[in-house]
Amino acid sequence: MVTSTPARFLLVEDDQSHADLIRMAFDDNNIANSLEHVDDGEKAIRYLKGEAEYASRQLPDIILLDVRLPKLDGHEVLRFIKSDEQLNVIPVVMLTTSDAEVDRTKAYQEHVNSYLTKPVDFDQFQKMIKDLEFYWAIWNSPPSVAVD
Amino acid sequence: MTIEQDLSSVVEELRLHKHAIDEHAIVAITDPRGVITYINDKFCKISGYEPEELIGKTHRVVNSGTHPKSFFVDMWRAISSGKTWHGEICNRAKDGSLYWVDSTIVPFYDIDGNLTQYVSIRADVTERRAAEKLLKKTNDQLTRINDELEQFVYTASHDLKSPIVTMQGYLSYLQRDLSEGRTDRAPEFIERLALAADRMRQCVDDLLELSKIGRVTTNPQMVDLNEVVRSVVDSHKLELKELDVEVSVEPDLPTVYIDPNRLTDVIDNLLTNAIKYGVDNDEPVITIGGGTQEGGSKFFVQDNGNGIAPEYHSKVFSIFERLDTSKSGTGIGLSLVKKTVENGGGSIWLESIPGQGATFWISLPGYPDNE
Repeated sequence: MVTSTPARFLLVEDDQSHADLIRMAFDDNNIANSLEHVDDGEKAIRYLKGEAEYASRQLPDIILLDVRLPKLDGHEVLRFIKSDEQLNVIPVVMLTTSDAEVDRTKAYQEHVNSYLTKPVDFDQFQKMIKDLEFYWAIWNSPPSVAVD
Repeated sequence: MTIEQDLSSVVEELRLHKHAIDEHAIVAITDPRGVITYINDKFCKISGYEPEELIGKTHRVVNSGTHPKSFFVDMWRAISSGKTWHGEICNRAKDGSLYWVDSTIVPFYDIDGNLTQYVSIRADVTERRAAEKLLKKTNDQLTRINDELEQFVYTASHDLKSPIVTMQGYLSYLQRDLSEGRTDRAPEFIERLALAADRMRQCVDDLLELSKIGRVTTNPQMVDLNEVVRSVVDSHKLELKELDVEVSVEPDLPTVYIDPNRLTDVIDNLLTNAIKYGVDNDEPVITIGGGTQEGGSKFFVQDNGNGIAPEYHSKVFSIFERLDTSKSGTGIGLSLVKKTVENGGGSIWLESIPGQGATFWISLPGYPDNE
């Protein structure tokens, strides 16, 4: 059985309404996770580096990353994460309103862990959050002891 | 047939060949040092020189100065070593105009193997070169427009969908709440829906505005910037008073060459922006100034807000790009301004030091002299 340990999510999303909806999806589904939110790519990097106002932040377990962001876009943030030895183990899920092929290809080339088009149906979005939780729980479940 | 008759028929044949070549081509003959010994009518006609102005001179007379030195060094190296040279040369006519000739230069030797002369046969390719240049320009333009279009479709697919995703999100919550008999969150959700719909409408309006530039016939004329600035500032009077923003307009703004309605749009957009970002200062001041410069005019709109870091200067003019999402706006305004200015043959740039405000500069060409 998979035990659910609270996971820390970092949401990088410039659209406040989308951020609110995502937070609501967490709350309404009683997902007992913490959700930190930053609204541009530059802040995301400062958060991950633990700079200035983010000095006391804890590293997230999962990053939800919007593609279109002010200042530095999602691809730039993703490249930063994946080139950092400490950060590149954190699963990154790219979120976008567009299913542009170019974004998808680029994201996978940049080693994104998952790529999700912001679902038009919000129930699907909630399901996605649940799946993510589940994914994270499995990710964190203790490995079975190998016996030779 | 006698030898004389033979000879005379060969000479006649050569005369006819020469006549045919003279009809078709620009011909010049030089001695081994490059001094012109013969030119045909076509050479005189295209260069605008009389034969006596050319005979005894070298081709330097028609040198346009547009080729690098190495170009002629290579040519001389080839022909002086006995090789035929082909190439296109840009020459200058007597009246200063440039013309292009497709040239073949052949070295001639006497029976002892001594170089005697160079014969050059040329064809006027000025029109072809001009057509090629035009074609390249048009092609570059098309590539640029295509890139713009691609960028537009890409951003539109992201950003226009954004309010729809919001609306669908709140709608699905609303539906679920109502089906469970829950109404406490309904007013908030409806308010959110209205805001998203409004944003969508604003986006579409701005996009329509943007698509008009370049499509709508513009009527450029000399416009007094003083008047335009005065009327735009006046239209923002209430807002400026409410937000306590001071606007300082320098005297003697230039007269600029552009469509007056478009100029109003440009100033309005820049002023709106300056107000939006200037208010970050406790004592917001917006300065508008400018003057004439060689070949036209330039002017600026400056705020004393937080400014923009250099790494984002190139991004501010991109469509849908918003550096500060806490401010209202669709991210279309500045790309609208840029497109308008560029359509008028001008350019726009940003000067800003973070913490010290931002200055948007626009330069526009003057009244066209000969178009």
